[in-house]
Amino acid sequence: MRGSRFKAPGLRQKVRLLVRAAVPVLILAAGCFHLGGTVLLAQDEEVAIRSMFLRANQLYKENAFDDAIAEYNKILSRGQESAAIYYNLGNCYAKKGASGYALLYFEKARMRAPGDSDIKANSDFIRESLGLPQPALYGNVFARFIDRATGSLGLNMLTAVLFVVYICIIGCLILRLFVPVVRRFDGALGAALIIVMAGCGFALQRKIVYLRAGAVVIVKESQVSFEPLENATVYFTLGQGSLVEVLQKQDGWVKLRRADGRIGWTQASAIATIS
Amino acid sequence: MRRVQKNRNVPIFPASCLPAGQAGVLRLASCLCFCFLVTAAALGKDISFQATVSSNHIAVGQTVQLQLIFEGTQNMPALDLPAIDGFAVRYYGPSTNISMVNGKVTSSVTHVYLLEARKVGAFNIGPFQLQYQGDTYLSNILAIEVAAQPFGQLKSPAVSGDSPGDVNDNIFLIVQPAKNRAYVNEEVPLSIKLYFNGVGVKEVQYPEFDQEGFSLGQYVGPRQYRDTLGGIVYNVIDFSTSFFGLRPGEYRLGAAHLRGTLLVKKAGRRRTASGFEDLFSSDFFDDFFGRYEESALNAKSVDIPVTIIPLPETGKPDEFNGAVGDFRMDASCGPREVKAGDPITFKVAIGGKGNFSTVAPVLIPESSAFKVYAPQVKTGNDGKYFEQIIMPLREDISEVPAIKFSFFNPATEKYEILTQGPFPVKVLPGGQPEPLKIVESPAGARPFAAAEQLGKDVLFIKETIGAVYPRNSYLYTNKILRFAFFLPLCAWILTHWFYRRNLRLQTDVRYARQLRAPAKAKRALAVARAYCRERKVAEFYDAVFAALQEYLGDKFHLSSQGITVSIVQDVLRPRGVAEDCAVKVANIFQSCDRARYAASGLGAADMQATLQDLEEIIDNLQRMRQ
Repeated sequence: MRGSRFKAPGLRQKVRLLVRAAVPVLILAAGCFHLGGTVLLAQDEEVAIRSMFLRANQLYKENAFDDAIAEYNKILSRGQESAAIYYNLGNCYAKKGASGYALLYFEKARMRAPGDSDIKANSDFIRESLGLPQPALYGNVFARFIDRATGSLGLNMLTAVLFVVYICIIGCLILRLFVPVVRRFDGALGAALIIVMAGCGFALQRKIVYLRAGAVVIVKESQVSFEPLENATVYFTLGQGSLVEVLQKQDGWVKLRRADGRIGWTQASAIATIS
Repeated sequence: MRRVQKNRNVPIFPASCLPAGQAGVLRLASCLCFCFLVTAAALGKDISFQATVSSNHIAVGQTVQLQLIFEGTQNMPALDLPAIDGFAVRYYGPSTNISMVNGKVTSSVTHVYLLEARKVGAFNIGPFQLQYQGDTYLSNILAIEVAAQPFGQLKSPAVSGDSPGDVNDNIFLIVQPAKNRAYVNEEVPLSIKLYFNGVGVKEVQYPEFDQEGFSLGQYVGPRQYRDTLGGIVYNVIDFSTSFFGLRPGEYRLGAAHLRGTLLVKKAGRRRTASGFEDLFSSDFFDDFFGRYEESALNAKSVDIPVTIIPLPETGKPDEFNGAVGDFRMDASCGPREVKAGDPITFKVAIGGKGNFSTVAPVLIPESSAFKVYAPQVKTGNDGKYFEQIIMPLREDISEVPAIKFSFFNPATEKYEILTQGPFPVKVLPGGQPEPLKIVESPAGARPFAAAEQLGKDVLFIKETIGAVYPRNSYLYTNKILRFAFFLPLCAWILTHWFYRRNLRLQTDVRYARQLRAPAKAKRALAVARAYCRERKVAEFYDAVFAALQEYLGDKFHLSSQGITVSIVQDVLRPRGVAEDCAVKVANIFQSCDRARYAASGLGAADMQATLQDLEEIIDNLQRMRQ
């Protein structure tokens, strides 16, 4: 039974309703990004951190690398970090000849600023000086494609993109209810947005895994055995600065996997995790 | 030699711009706009009188249309035609016309007569004479040939292809050279005309030629106009160009081929062979009703004999380079004061009429006095231009030598020589020429002398701390963001619910009524309660009755107006409404009836009780699952 007793709201009214609903969501999203991004430091704390950073830089310039490292670590011990701090720490270790640590800190810096060319240049230089190959993309074709496409995006940026795409998908779902034109394109648009969202999600997941489980060999040479035992058979040897993925920790031993997929055990002290 | 011509495959009339294809609506509008000019046009001073026939080849029994056209007036009476030998004459009626060409308005009146051929033979009709308002008008003479059979079966077609066979009398292509005897390289104007009458053409392409031994120039136009041929008025598309013979001899120019689209009235709509179609051939109606049938037009002309004669040997100057025409020459040079070795621009312009492709560059020759460069040549529509750079090599040069240009003038049949110069110049001493120097960079500065060893080290530290974050704190770990991911989802679920509910309210009247029944009942109860407070018995029971009717109607999707106490038996009990509730409903209806007829018997207590019963009824029915 059809009837028209109740007048349907006009397009303008629908749009107004949607805008009213969207504004709080967007405000909330913006707030989330803000809170998840740079921290609002108290003025005194900010001054203290900046002065420590400048002091550390000065020490670096005076070739007092150990003192500079100590000063940079003071900042980290206050619970703050930045790509510049990790980068400068990497430089300090590089100057000291501790290439493994240098690479570790460059990797830490890269997690915060993946597109920074200085970080990449120094990282490449250290890797070259150690005779290590450039870190190969691992995984299947799709994973390598996603890594390449999102290589310059940091974790925060990827999260933001993911959220925006998610908002767009929801927005399209809402719009298609009220705006008939959207229904004409919802198939292609929805598919595109879902593909982008899936790609971002996949890339984010890989970066999170890398952040949590990624590690760098900090000793000159580390023997990887089949078992976490002193007299176990050595499977392969990792050089200083090699990137590995930590799978398990057990009694001073870590189970790791290198880029080619080989898995073995080594002393926990031989590696340092990126996170 | 063959000149470059315009792209002949591109239609020069992109749309049907000829009679049958003209935009009828626009034409009609234009006619309406010009109506006010009728009177003015009718007062035109120059009045011409012309007689035309629709065809001058007909068969016995066929009818031809005779038109007596008075140009320059619309107030000319019909002529009483005398008896015409071999024809039966009938006056058909007048037709008026106004046209505006380049701002000039012309008007005409045409008196149409039908001539039916009665016997075989060649007849001359006219001249017709009319005396009107003291002036005498005399027409031309028309020739009509009457055959025993229709002419379409006797004549060879002028139009080939899939064109209808009976249009060959109405469209043909002719080639008209300005003369049939010309010198080698003499430019001869050539006109190719497409005549058509009673049919339309569109998408006409430039004519193509069999031109062995000739070179054809570029087409100008085409022009469109009307022309009378053998007493028949034709539409003409005139392509103008020129040709010249390449070698002496006897040649045949053509045949020309012209392609396009022919528009012929559909046979079903024709008015037989009586010639009436011209009278009623309004482009507006033709376009409107789509009466024209399109077919390919492939018109072919006859070839024309042309004699090309050689240039005379007597009197041929030494400087003659083959130029044929009637030319003039203008030469100049500048600057007139230069240093030795500096350039002077020498310009020669050859104008006039003739075959410019035969005009060779007129140059200053290389000599010990001048270094000369190859000229730049430009050919325009009105002449040929040469620009040459010359350099005086010595400071004792006082003039640029004179130049001569000789050509053969076909009009006078003589060789002519044009001379310009000499041109005085002043040559100043040139500067010392710089000796040749080999410029090279110092050996030590050669970038590729040895492979450079570049140093390698880490890049310098960063001087600014940049964006500072809490350690190991990333956006994806932010709890607020994780919560925020649910908000759009909730928004979508709510919106979807709202949308579905709204849609159901629009489409499901039963649902909408049930949904809104309590709210409406609540409002009605408030009204009744107000009457109760004011002790308005009759109004109270009216309000209660209306509220109960409305509520029950909405609740059970019934027409509210027709609800009475019978609903208890018909609806409430069958639907499982509690008995006490049904009884209360019946009581309220009875109370309302009683109040209507004996309101004085009901007091405040009764009203309160009724109100309470009504509230309980609504409450009970709302709790009941539909």
